[in-house]
Amino acid sequence: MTAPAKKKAHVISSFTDAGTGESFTADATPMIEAGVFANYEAAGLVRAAAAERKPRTPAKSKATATRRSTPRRGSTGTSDGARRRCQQVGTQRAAGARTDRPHRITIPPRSG
Amino acid sequence: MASSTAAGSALAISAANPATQDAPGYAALAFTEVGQIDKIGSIGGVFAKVEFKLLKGPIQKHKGSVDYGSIQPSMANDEADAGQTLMRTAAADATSKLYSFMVTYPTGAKRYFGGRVFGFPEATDGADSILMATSTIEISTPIVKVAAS
Repeated sequence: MTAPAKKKAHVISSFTDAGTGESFTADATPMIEAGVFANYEAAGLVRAAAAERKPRTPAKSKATATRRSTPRRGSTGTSDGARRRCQQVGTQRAAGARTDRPHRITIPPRSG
Repeated sequence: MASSTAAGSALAISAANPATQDAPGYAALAFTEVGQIDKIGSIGGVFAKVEFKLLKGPIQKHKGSVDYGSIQPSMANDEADAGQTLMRTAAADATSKLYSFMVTYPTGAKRYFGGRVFGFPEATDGADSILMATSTIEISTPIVKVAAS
C-alpha cells in the first residue's frame, strides 16, 4: 500500500490536532498528508505553500542595435565606411542623407 | 461484545465526502478529531409512523420516511483546536455542503454519517464553569456502522 501523498502547507495561524497530537506554529511550512491538508485548508488554518523560486541568474547582455535619431555633430550624415558599404552593394547615397533611414537606391542625374 | 462506558469515544469531521456511502468509502477519507468533547449525543434513524385505522381490527402501523436525527456534541471552547475550527467553519457555511463525520467508540467500533452543522453557539456560564460550545449536527445520510475489529 503506497503512502498517502503529502502537500507543503503554509500555516496561517497556530493550531493543534487533537487526534494526532501534532501542533503547528504560524508561518511554518510543514508537509501534511493531502486529505488532512484539505481539512485544515477548509478550516482556514493553512494554505498551499508558494512554490520555491529558483535563484535568478543574471541575464546575458545582448548587443542591441540602436538607431541614431540625429546625425553625429559635424557629419554630413554619411560616414566613409557607410559610403564604401553602399558602393560595395551597388547603391548610392545622396550627400548629406541621414543614416537612420532605410537604404534607397538613388541615381543622381549625370552632369554635363 | 460486552457493554462499555462512553469514556474514550471521539468525534471527527472531514470536509470531503465519500465516493460511496459505505464503510470503504468513508474509511478512505481523512478525518480531523474534534477536541475537548464531553458529550456527543444519540445516533440512529427513526421512522415516521403511518397509522391506518381499520373499521374492523386493530390500528395498522406502517413505516414512513426515516429521519436520522441530530446530535448536539458539547465541548470546552478551544479556538486552537483544528477540529473545532472546522466545525465553526461548517456552522458558518451558508451553503448546503455536506460534511462527513466519524464517531469512534472505545471498543473500536465506528459510526459514519454525512451531515450539516447548523450551529456552534458558545456559552459563558458562571465563574466556576468552563467556556463551552454546543454544536448541532443534523444527520442527512444513513448511518454506516463498522464493527470493532
